Amino acid sequence: MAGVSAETALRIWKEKGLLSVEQIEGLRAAIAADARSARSSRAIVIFSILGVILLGTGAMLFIASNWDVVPPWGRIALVLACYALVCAAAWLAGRHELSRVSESLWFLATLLLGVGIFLLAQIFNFSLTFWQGPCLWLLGTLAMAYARQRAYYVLLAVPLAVLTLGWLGGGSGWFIDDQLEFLASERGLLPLFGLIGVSCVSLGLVARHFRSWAFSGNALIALGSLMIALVLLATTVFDEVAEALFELLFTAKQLSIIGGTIVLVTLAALVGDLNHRGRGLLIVTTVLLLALIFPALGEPPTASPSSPLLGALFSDDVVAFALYVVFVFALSLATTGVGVSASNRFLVNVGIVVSALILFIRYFAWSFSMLPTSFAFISGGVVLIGISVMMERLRRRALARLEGN
Amino acid sequence: MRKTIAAVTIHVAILVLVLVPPLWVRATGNEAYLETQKMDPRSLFRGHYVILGYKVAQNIVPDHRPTTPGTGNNTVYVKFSTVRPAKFLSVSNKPPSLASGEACIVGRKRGRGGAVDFPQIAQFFAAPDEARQLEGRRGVNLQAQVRTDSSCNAVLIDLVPPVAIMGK
Repeated sequence: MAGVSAETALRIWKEKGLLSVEQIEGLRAAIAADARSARSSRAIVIFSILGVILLGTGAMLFIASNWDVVPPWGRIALVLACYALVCAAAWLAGRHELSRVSESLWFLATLLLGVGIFLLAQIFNFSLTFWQGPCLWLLGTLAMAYARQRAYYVLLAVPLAVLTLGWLGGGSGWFIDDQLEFLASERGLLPLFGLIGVSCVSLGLVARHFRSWAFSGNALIALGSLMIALVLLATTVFDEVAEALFELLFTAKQLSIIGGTIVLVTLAALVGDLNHRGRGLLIVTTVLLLALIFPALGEPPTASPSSPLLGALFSDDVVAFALYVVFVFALSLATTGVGVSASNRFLVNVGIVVSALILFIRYFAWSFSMLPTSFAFISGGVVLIGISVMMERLRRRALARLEGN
Repeated sequence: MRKTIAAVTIHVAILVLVLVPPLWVRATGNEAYLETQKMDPRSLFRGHYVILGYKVAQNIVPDHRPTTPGTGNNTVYVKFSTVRPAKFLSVSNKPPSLASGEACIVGRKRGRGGAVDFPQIAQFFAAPDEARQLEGRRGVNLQAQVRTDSSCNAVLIDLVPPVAIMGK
């Protein structure tokens, strides 16, 4: 019965005499009512979130436009009053059984906490030396996420954790040096972005094991796999990308992130909620990302950045780079497979989109020199249509199997 | 609901935690006036503010690249007099002992020109027009009014003109 729609199932059961006409009509009505209810609740969530964003933006614009004329104690009162007002509204909405509106307002309260932290610090010209602000906001977000058990808090918590980690150890107050260094420099987080994604996925797998944090599992896995996909996809664009991207200084912070990732992956492999295919994919991805940052031999970690062994190889050897692209392509197909076996739609979609993009990028990279000729356009059209047909069939089959599971 | 009340309590505690240390230093610290070195009114996420360097923190450590963040310690403690404007006294790797008329601020080696940054008082928030005016009055024409405690924590109170200019 795998991959069979509800209507087909009802027809089969009717033909086999397992269900009467009345029972079938009753089931059909129940399915239709459930679908209507799901659609309307989705609309409520969308309207609530949009309302919350508009309300929050309006409140912030109002405060910002009058900020200069309000004395410091008035500003503190304003920040605290806004927060208290939203909390009271969330509580009242909950009391009147408007649960979705209430949840949106609790989320708004968490957003206001972040705004409040920075505004309060601003009143006294207190710089928070950068990492402290996101760190405090992260703690508040985790507390509310635990209390409300909603996955969307993860979407706020992960960027805050990345900012905290990135800004930790910096903070002289200068623009380029500290605010963007965590992404731009070889002692920052960019070379480890993929491994941080692996950490997120591992944390999600472990979180699913614990009832109190199970709500965050899928969101962590989704965000983590997106981060990994972005990094791996970027390295397939040009053969020089891996060499430039994975150059790092092996600072104490970077080594801690690498060590932490290995611990989390081990933990996820041992106690995480995943099957043997998923475990294999997680380990292979981790090993690949560790291999990509492995320094060229004879270059011990020093004050100057170490160029990565594989990156240097890809730059010099076109065959090695081609094999790497094929490997990443196989990995994305394997991700689709794991998504199907684990009934995870997001993994299925990530795997399919990444494999399609790899083919797309390779086509343009290899046909670039033929651009002035008609052959490039004809072959391009054929290739793209072929990819679309293949991907659509693959996605449909995968999702059908997913529904069956 | 108990968990939510706990979360809201944590939120309020965080907001208070942000306020208490600077307010404490502001209320109990020694006052000093530091000549500003340079300014840069830029913003990324946090609106308009000027970024400040200080004369008292220039050419006070050997001119070499600082230790890479995360691999060592860039932290230094700069001691200066509380006369107006403040005069540099010493720089050390540990909080110094302070006599009467002395104050200190925790800083970070920048690595260019033997300079030190004071992260805690590096930003002054202002409206765009005010920020532009302040930029025009940088250097000896503008002093930072700060308060510091015995642990070398500092809070920036205001940017003011020097006494001589104020008197004119």
